[in-house]
Amino acid sequence: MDAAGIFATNYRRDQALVRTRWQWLCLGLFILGLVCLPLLLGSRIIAIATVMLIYAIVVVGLQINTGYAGQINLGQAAFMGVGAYTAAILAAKAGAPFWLAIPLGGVSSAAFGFIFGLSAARIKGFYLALSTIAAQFIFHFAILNLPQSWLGGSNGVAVPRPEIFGAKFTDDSAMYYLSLIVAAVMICGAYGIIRSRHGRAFVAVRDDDVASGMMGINIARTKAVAFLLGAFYAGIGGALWAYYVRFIAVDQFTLIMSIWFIAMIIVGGMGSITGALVGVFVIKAVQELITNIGPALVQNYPFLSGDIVFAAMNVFLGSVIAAFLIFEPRGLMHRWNILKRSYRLWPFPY
Amino acid sequence: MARTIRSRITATLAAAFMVPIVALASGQARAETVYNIASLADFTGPYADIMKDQTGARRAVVDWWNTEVGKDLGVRLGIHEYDHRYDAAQVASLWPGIKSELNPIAALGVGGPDVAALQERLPDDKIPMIMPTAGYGYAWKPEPWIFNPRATYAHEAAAFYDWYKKEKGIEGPVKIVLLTSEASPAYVDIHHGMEKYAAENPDKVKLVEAVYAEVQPSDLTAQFHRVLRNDVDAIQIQTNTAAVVAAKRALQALSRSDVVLVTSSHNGLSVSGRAAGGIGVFEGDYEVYGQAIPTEEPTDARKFYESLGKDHGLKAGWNIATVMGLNQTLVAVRAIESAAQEVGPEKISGAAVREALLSDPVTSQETFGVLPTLRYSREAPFPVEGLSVNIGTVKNGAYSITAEDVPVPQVNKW
Amino acid sequence: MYFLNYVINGALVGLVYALIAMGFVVIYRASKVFNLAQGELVVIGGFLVWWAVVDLSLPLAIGLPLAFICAAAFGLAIERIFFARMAGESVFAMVMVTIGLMILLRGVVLIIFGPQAHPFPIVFPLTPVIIGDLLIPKSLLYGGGLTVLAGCGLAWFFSRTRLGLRMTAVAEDHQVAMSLGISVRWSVAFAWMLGSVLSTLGAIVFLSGKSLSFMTSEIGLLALPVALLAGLESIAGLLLAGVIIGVVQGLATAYLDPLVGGSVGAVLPFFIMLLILLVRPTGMFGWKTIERV
Repeated sequence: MDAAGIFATNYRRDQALVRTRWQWLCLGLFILGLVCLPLLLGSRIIAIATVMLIYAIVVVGLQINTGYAGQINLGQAAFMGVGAYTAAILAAKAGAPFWLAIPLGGVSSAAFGFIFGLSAARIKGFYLALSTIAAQFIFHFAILNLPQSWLGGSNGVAVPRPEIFGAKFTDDSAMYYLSLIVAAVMICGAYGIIRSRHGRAFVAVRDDDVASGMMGINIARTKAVAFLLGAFYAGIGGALWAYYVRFIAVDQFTLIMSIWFIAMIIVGGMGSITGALVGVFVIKAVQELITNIGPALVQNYPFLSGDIVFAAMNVFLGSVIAAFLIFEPRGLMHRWNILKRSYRLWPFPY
Repeated sequence: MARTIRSRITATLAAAFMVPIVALASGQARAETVYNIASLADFTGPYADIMKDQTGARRAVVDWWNTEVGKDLGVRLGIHEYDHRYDAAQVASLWPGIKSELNPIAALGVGGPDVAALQERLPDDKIPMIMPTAGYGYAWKPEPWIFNPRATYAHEAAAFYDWYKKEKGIEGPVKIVLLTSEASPAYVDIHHGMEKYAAENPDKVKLVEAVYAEVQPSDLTAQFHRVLRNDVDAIQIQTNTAAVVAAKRALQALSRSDVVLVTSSHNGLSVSGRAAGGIGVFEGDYEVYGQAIPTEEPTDARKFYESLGKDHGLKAGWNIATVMGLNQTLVAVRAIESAAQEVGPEKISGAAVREALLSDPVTSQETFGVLPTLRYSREAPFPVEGLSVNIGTVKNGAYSITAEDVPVPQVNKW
Repeated sequence: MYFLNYVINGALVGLVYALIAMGFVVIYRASKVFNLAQGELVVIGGFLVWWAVVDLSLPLAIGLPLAFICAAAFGLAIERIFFARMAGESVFAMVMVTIGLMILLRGVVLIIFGPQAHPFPIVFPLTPVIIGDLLIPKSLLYGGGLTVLAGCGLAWFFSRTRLGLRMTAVAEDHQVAMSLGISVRWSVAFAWMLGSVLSTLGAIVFLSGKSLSFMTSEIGLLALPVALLAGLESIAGLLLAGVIIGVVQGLATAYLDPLVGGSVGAVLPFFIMLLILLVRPTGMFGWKTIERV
């Protein structure tokens, strides 16, 4: 809800994401902060931020697919892998420049997503989750067993540095800016999609697909498009990942990664793009925190051996997922919205 | 009064100026340049339980070198640990920070994720990395910046078969079955290596079949029953302990005590024995790898380990993880030593360390018998010639070394 | 002759998968929860046996029943803590809670028992049964027998005894069962206890004489195609489905693996699962056909 005194006089204003001048200012400062990040903070933070941006793209795609359209997708890491391998092969073997390899990575992943989406028209819920799990395993098997000259097999694929007008990206902050620009474009696109008729169709199909079919929405096509979009985002994220790590192998895209992605949207709040971003930030920040204090903890409290910290991360992730689902299934965004509402209404209670 | 104050102020200012001069002077009197080594570790990931021993060994070796060698050369090494959870993404995200904070002249890695994440970056960053494990076929590229003190698993197994053929007087090739898995590309890589070696050396080794199983195999008896129909001398397992235990049970069920198991360092006899309920289960089986075997026998390596424990605070046990920590750090410090002698103690850089490693062999005496003599070249991350392996076995229930310095044959790149 | 050997061994391995899938199906029948954490329950069951027999050095006759009792208690605890509050929630939420549970249990196992492999006690004798050229490991044979017994026993229990019929009613519809005076809470709790005990039995058959670590939970994922092929509510159907998938996997491993030079046998069950999902999601003996699609 809007603060007191803010109201829209036309449909465009009503639909707008950024509603007041104050919000524009905050957004501007935030973007300025992101742009100036490499100048202010050390290279460790830049690296973490780059990974967060890449994950953000993938998780936003997952949010469109699972949060908005309600299609459980436990294979997002496999789609990311498809995009990464495509971009890597194009860059390494065909010498394609990055501004061609990254979109093509997204496109190839989208094609796979579309095929899965077509099957989603036939199965739902748990069965869809199972088929996406099967996709993970089949991806792993396919990469390892297809001829090595095609996809690198067990050797993985090494990716050259991206270059623009002949100048190679030698700096990590250059990779950060690339990820930032791509992430900004993709996230704006995501906001646009969900506010359009496609987004409304997704939500309708999620809430009750039989009813939405009766209202005239083409269920099969909507589900397939949801998967296509989710996979497209994953593919773009994967392509950026390939350029970032510069060596991809099949064990970088595992079922556990897909589960982490789902955890991010649960924590952030399903059904909200901002929620996806919040989820990525929170989960990654906690991961980094545990990694940083882990060795210090192990040294100071010797009874806590190192493997307990690893196990503790698992326990943390599992209990976070379970706890959020049991107590706050709508995630942090819901808590934030409640907070916003209460301070906008203050001193009234409702 | 004013004069006293003025003189006091003058004295203070003079003292303030003296302090840095004295510090500089004393610094020069010490005349030691400090360099750093980055120690990549997995404290919170799947190998966390062995990491304490491995990093403990690394620290002890650096401490020993600083006292015994570095002092005379005017070089002091610092070592700093970074936890990457055995995750390539984490290595990639830590590395820029490591570079800027620590400015290392060498890095010590752990396993696959380090190689994956840093393979492309190290040539640009000009920092060499020393691994503790055997080499991988997919990392076998020229102009290496990542160095392994051992050849690939295929090389080590090939050395074993050469020795075994002579030892048992086998006519014709040694017939082997390879038990591997698709769980990791590294395991598939071993298969490719053995295939190539067997194809090029049909008189030495015959690869009867490669059996693929899961990481935790459900039942190998049926598969082995089929495969062991053929005449088989040995089963090679270099993946994990669960596979070794399952294979042994299958062999016991089939009463085939004529077939021996051949394992590597990370799934060797001691750790597989713990998983099977006692090392006696593996009576007559073998492990082969190109580093010292941690038995109770008083080898040179064992004596070095004990001296580290006495004088340099090494608390780790005498096991494979410790030996791995020793082997990589010894190579690194010997390379730095050689670089210091080449370019002088003030000008050591990562590139200089790498040049020293490529031009100067690290002899077995310099590594106290932990490793054979290593002669690196620009063709590969590991020495392609002149390496040897050690073979351990279980004899009468006791873990013992059965052969040392068995030469590694030539294996061509696959 | 070897072909027959592969078929028989494959069928017996498939029966092990069926035993684990039985735990999954029992839980699904009563509480409508798709328990993706079934593999972790197997691991925990296995560690309970290890703790009783190896750690405490109890004889098998005392250690095994103790492990079963602890497993049942554990299943009850999980149901009370996690799923009692999730009654009536959406499928997505349930699936995600089981995934969260899977990760949580893995972490707990790692904390308590560490990541290294532990030796599992030898419950069935190691020497195989040899009939001419046929070779059948005793653990698989006895395990297969136990599975068939359990399957038939459970099928009879759920369709012929009063208690079992009550649980079947709960499985069909919680609301209707409640309105008839059947205690849904008790049925669900009992189903989880039963599922946990079956997982422990599965661990014993699967791991006898071998080693156990947190990675053993992967077998839980292999139980899914079996459960799916049987149709998620049929217990007797699991036996047939297990045999089919086991035989197919065994033959693929024997004949296709050397051809491809890779691990076809491990991936084939997932291909089959995809096929089932696309062609006939209700499996062979599933109940209602409307809700799946």
